[in-house]
Amino acid sequence: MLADVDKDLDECYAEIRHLQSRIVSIQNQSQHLKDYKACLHFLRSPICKLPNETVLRIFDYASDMNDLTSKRVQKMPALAISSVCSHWRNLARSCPKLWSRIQITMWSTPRHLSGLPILDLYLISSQQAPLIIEFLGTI
Amino acid sequence: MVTLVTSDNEKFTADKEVAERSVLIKNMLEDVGESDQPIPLPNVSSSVLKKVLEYCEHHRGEPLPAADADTTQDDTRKRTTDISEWDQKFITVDQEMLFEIILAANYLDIKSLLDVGCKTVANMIKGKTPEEIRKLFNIVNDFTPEEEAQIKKENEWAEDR
Repeated sequence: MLADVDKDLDECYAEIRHLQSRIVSIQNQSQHLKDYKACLHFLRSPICKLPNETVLRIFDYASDMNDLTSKRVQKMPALAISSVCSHWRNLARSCPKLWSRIQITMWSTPRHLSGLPILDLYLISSQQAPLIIEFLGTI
Repeated sequence: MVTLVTSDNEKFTADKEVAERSVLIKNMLEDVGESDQPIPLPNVSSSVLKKVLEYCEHHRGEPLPAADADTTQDDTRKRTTDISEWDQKFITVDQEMLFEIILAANYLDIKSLLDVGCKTVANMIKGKTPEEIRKLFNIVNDFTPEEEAQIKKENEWAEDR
């Protein structure tokens, strides 16, 4: 009698394991479909028809100046662009000059520039590109 | 006069001086020499070529940029996205047409038109948050959770992320 119950229990556990692995498999499949849908959606966007060098030309014009002390991502086009999608992020990170035009307003700057963590990101991303740094303030 | 044939098989005639604002067409004409043969433009539709020729006609006679203007562009100078009044009016089209014009300018190698298009898109991007940019261009946020966390970290000091 007890042996029969154990056998039934084992069968139940086996069924649970089977269903659990099926759930994981369906979850993976739905993630793949979501990624594929995102990809198709992006392809419908007219901007995705442009070749990378043209998109970078647009980014270059858009990133004419990055106001690092504004505390507003809209004032830092290189950062905003790199936060749109992974394709744009890879493109923006591959182009040091986008990160090389920096504006710092002295009255809103922490006493030491080390208190401005976003500056590190810009300096690292600008790599060897010549920097243009504008300091705004009153004497 | 030069005859141009679009991807949808429409024929356009233009003054040589106007058509030669396209470096691609200029080089083709130089290669084939004196000929009445129409020039096929398989990557440009009639509606887009009409706009491109309108641009070239307006700017006829203006000096063309040097062939190496791009490679000698000074990286130490600030970029300007100023666009002349006429060009601004010309490029006030729907997004689909705007990107088609940019593609055509790139293919036909008309640097000044390419710049007008790129500056227009740049001006659309400037002053916007990533979410506003996605909405504007119908772009999907496809970041992995790891990338999302990294972006959040990069933006955490911002007041309006």
